[in-house]
Amino acid sequence: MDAAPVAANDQEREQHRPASLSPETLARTLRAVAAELERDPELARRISGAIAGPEAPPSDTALRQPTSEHGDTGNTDEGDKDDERVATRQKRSTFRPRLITGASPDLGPGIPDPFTLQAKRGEEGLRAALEELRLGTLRAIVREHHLDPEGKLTRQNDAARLRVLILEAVARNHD
Amino acid sequence: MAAICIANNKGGVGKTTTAVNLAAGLARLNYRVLVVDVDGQANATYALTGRVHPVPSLYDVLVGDRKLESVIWQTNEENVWLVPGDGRLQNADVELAARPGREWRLAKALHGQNYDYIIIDTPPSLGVLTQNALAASHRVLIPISLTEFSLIGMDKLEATIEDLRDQLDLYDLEIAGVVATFYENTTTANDTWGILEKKYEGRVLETRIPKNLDLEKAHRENESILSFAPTSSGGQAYTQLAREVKRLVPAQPRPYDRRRSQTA
Repeated sequence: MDAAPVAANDQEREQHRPASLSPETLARTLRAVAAELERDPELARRISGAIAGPEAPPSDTALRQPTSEHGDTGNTDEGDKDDERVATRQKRSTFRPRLITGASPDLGPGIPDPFTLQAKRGEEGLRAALEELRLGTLRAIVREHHLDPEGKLTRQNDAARLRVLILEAVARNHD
Repeated sequence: MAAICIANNKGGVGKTTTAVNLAAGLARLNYRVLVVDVDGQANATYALTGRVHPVPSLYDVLVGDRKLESVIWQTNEENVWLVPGDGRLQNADVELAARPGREWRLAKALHGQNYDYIIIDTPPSLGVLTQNALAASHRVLIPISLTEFSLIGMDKLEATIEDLRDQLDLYDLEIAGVVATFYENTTTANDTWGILEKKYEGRVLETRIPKNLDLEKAHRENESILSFAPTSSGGQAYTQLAREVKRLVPAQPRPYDRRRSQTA
């Protein structure tokens, strides 16, 4: 951050300077601070957090992109137009590591069959099994069992809606 | 049938990402593709199925006596099948070391398989497993990240391929090309690209795979970029790569049959 330069021969004047800054110095300093805040969003976030006070947790809500339960950004025509923007947001967001345990070995090889799972485990068992599965596997189940003939839902990156679709289809079949 | 080995002894250059997404790209060109996960980290297995270190796997085929057919899985990608890997493969180099014909076990296991393409994902090493992958392949595709240290060690991979050609009589094993990954329009990346073009004159693929967060997200969601974000920069690049690979390494209309005697 640029500070107002103070010449060595101005030392005496400095000693006699009143506590308040001159309007010019204040304006110059604030302009420098503003420029730095615009350049460095992380600094802006920290300062914003400090102004909010220690009792308030540092808020990065405004900086965080809307995410689904998997943290995806939807089908990313939009997202990929500006990877740099997304990357910058990603850096700012809190990293939340996740232990990858994968889907249960009980599901057997290949694409799980929700009808078999319902028969073996009941509705709650099926629901629990689907909760473990991620978008790709859910989409594959829908595709393999022709649960979305028009393919509208399958093209969306929305795991929750795919789970509902699968549960409804299995329930219909059960009835 | 054409078998393509995705190899580079360096880690983190995009081998698995390339294997998974190239397979999906070829599948979208109406080819039947078998991915073989030779890497003990089994990341391709996770990316295509959501399973972590499933058993049985390729390990049981290479080290045990299980038939390959019994470990072929349908994946989350249409027209893509998988021979999964698991963590035990990390010990397979040692376990296979003393076996006669150890470099040919994968080729032997694949005999008779009837896919248009076999894509083999390899570990970041040049041990027995990678040798199996190379011996089982017709062509090698080398992903190279356009980063500062990416060119270190490249000569080692080429030397290994040359050695294998001599030792195993793999006279028809060729480098199909070098594909640049993690591309960003920076001075370092463009300079590295320039060096690659000089070093691998005529063999650097036109497609450059960009650095793209969606590629990572797609792995996390257990699917290819072509399912997760087909219009993303990564999705478009892998669509283009599949077309380029199809042109460079055409699928042959006959079942897999690759033995030592044939290549001599």
